Amino acid sequence: MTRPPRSALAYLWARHPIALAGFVLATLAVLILSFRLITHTIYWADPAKRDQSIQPWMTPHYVSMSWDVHPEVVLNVTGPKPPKRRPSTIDDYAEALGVPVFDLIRDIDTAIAAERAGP
Amino acid sequence: MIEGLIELVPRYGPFILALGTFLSCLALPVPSSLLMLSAGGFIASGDISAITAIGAAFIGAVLGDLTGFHIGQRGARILARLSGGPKRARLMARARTALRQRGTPAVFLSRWLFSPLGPYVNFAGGAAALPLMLFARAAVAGEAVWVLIYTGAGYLFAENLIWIGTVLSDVTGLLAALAVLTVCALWLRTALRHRHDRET
Repeated sequence: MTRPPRSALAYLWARHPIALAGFVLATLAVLILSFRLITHTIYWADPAKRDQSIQPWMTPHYVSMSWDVHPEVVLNVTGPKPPKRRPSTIDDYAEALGVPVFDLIRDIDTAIAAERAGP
Repeated sequence: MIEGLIELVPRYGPFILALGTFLSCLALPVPSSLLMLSAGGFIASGDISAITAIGAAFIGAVLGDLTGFHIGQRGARILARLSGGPKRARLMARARTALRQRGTPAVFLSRWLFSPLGPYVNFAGGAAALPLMLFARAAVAGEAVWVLIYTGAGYLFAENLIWIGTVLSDVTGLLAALAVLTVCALWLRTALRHRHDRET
């Protein structure tokens, strides 16, 4: 007596469940990740969204590099580097000055705008 | 959340980079790629030294790979003791031969091109008793490429760190999923061929 032939899918599921499950899961992952890549590409296509506003984690040199101004422009607002053995962030400078970090960021923004407007 | 992570780089410097790459090689969900991109950004702004940052990330990654390999070796020994049978031994021997033949490209490419798969290749390589020197050589070369690509991208796109971070994570995730899909598809095709051969 011969067994009736099984479908390819039933055969694979019975004999190679790991490969089949991996195949299904990887297909799902490819679909989800492609969707994510497409939505992100659409979102970031606008160059204005790629521009980073000044954030507390940035260092004065990082800010001056991002905004293409001389470091002095930022350092004039932030004052001297706090006595720390590591690079200081805008957050550290605000703490040393005893001002809220977003007030300091606003002042740096103003200084950069003034510098860019020219003398 | 992303900003909080980036801030760790100037705060803790090379230590956080080494720790990040080490843990991510052990399949722990540590955003080491974002840490390396940020390091590239702070190298560009002159806040941290390129040599220490790149060196720390590289050493952490290689140590993580070797630790993962060792965990795989240990795990395989325990598994073999628990369920040792001739069938299993045959299967392990076959996996070992396959890995020895394709081990170098698998280890090298899973460091950077398919980086989400890296930690699992470490465990599998150890479990399949891949020769340590072969593994280490491919891992060192692959990690060098990985670290240089990410810090380099951070350096070049220092002004758009969050953008480049999102793009790279999307692309590597997609590539890893496609790699798994290809391997499973080839496996299924071979299985169906075997079945066909047996029935005819």
